[in-house]
Amino acid sequence: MIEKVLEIAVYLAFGFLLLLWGLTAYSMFRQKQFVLKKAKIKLLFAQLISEHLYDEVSKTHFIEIQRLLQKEKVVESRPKNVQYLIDLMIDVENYFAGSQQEKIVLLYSQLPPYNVSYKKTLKKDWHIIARGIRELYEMDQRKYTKYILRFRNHSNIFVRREAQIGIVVFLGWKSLRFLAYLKYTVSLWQQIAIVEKLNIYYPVPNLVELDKILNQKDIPPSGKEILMRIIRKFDIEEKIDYIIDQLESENYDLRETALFCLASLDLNPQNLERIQTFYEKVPDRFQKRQILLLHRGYPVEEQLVFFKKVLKSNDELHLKTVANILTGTVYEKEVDLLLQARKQNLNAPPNLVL
Amino acid sequence: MNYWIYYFISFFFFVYGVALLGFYIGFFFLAKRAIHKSQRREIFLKVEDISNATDVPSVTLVAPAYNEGRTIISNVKSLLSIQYPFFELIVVNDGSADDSLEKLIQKFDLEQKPHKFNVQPIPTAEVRGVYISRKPQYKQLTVIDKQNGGRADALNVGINFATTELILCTDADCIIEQEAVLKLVRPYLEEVDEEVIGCGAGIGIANDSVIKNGILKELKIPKKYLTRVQVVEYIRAFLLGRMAWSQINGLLLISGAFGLYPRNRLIEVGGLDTKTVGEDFELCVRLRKHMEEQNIPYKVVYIPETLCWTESPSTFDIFVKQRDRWARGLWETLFNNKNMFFNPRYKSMGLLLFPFWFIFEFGAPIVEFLGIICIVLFAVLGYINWDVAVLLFLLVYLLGCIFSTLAIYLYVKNYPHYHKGKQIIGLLSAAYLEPFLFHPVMLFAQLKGYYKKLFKIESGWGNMVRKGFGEEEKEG
Amino acid sequence: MNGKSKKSLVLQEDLLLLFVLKKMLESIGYQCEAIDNIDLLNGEDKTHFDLVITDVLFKGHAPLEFISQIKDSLSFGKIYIVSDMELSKLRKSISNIQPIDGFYETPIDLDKFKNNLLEQ
Repeated sequence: MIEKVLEIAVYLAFGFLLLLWGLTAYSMFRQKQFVLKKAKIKLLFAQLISEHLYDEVSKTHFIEIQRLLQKEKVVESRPKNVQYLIDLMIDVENYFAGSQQEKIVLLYSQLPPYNVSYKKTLKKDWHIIARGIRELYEMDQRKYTKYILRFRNHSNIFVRREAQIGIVVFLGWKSLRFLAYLKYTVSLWQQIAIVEKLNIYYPVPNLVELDKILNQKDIPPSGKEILMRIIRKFDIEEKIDYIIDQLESENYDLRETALFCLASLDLNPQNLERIQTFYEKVPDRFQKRQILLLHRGYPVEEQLVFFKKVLKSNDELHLKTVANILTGTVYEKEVDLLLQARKQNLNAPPNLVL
Repeated sequence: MNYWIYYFISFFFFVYGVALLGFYIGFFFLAKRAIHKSQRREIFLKVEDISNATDVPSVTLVAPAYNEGRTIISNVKSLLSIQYPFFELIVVNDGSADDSLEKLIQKFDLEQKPHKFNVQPIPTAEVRGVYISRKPQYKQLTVIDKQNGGRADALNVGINFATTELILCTDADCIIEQEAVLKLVRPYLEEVDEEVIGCGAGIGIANDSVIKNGILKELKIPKKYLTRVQVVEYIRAFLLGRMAWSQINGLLLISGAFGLYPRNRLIEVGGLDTKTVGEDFELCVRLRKHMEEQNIPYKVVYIPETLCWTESPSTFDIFVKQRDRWARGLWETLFNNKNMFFNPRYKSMGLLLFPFWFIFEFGAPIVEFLGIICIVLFAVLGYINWDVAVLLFLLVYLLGCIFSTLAIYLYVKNYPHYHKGKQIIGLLSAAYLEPFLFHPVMLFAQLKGYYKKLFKIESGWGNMVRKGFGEEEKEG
Repeated sequence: MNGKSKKSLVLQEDLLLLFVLKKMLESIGYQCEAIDNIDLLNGEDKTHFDLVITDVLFKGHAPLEFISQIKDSLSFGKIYIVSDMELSKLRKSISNIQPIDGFYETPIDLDKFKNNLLEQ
């Protein structure tokens, strides 16, 4: 009995192995075909798009483009090819701004299958919905602005991310009133994408809209992080204090984002003075170190009082950080002597300014 | 009575085998799902998007180097060609006895910079000098010369001197895909409720491939059987095993040759352990333990793509030494953390992952060895039904072939590296001969490692003498 | 300005950017050579290019080292960098190796770029 069962199992296993060999061979063949097809479509599209942007647009221009694409099997019955073409159009749309972008959007609207992106948003699968939303905003289908809004708090992170980006693309600075109050935590990439799109499509800051939201009290941490990155990206000097205020937050990530943003902004002496008042309040020693590093590159004399205070601490991390900052200045030798004395548990040498 | 013992022992091996089979089947489905999910997610965060963005985390590659004078220049050039908007490269010369440092200083026009006030939160062997380049095209490069202290110690020096948010631990002789960092950083960009504390990716074998200026120009199947079968082994381990574990946040190991970690967490746990030979496994376990003890939600993730290429041992002697070391590393980490076994304090790590690793990773060579002894014994005693035994052997052999074929099929379906029929046939034939030519040697190596640990026989890492891709490892 | 006899070179791995930039240059009267694989660049070719538009991201080449190679192996008048990669950290280093006449990161306003070239 056991032998019979084992015999059948062996035959089944061998049969399955043969099936796998067949699947592997078929898979390799299909992959090869698709890679070649993609290369052909990309080459054709590169030629078409360059002609579309720079050559005269005749009456049969779009018909001719459709014919050439159909020849390469970019047709509704081959959804993979259609999707690849749409991805290429999005790529090229992201490469160019100004009048070229408008021409690309026009081309997209003329190519079948029409309305494919909107239809995707009606499906159940998250990746299809998200893809549809992306295509809608990348191809500037503004009539769907309100429609996209309803996805901004979708349970799937990718759907809501694309919706949030779409809202920024369509509404610009007005979108902040939605983005500051999102239900779910916003990932770093979401924040980056939102800020980058705002910068690309609406490069001139709208301080009225920004002020409206900065004055709200109940913005969740994610919302605050987005606002800080916006202030940093657009270099809005008059709002730097909003970032500095976050150093007082109990939320580690908020403080981390604030430190990151401050590190790439030009800080004036008043900013630095404000930052120094938060130094003792920050509980994390590595973040304290980052606060010290913010002072690098600024006139040392103006920070001396602050550095003197820090040099009284026992934390080697902070002492060495200050020493590093003072390397190359007139105080380098002094701080070296001071640290050596500390190491040997001696009193600091007399006549030290520090 | 004897028959009862025979049936009891046979039942034990049967249950062990069926359990292992069940896990492998589960791994396949988990891995397939994870790959599918990963590919869908990639559409929404392309490498071009990351390359174009301003606020992405900065990354330092830390590459320890020891006696790699012959290939160090091309290796460093290869690492410098990585495409990422904010990255630094720290090469740590771990007290090389050859001219590695001199070659680097000359080629990259290095000058010493003061490092007296550099904070070094992790204790390491003495740092003798820190060098940066006078040439603007190499401004991302820092070379640190230190006293010899081993690979883990060299990595710790790199971690100390890095100023970026993320650290990529690698080896100087690894070839890293240019877009690797762009892909590895994705999980960090997308983390929301669980902090990513480690990210790994597939490592491939590039023996006998065409390498030009430190770049993999053409991937070929290794000529020697030993290296070819390791290609299959790596595909199985990375694509099926690690991807499956990553899917359920059960990854306990990120390869030492290629792992991206947050710098602050590395410093919090005190860097890599210099006393173990399995420092990569030990680090991942310690990081996870640290997060569990802090009660911070976290995950260790894996990118199902080969982003790093390395050379595998090409002689049985060197191979045995490598697997002996891995076995000792496994032993050390498991026993050093034995308090985690079935400890609900560590949740899934204590209740599922550690027991699994102990029973099925650590235990497998021991069970196999005992099984061989039992077969011989029962054969002598005349207990074995040979018809059943042969069929069972055939079935188990075919199941093994199926798993290797499934792994290769998944790889071929999703990645372009092996696309020629001849290559696939080469890999499959290597896999089908594995139980006869490769596995017994691996079993011997693992048991050798356990024997050394059991009888406290001292044995270290070994010295690498490089001639280019395909070098021999010598026991130090 | 009559650019009819002017020679230009476009180096871009991405076909889309390559073709569009080539077309743009031809539309303002440049003779244009377009290369997507820099291994095809013949180091012995001593053609002087009035204008070079190049990316810094190429397979197998470190961005900064590539600029250094371009400087040594090509003869050119003006050089512009057009790239998909974020260049804020690399600009200074690139300019220290070879003075660059303009950096353009995507998305590029081609009309503005074209006008800049015409003004030169």
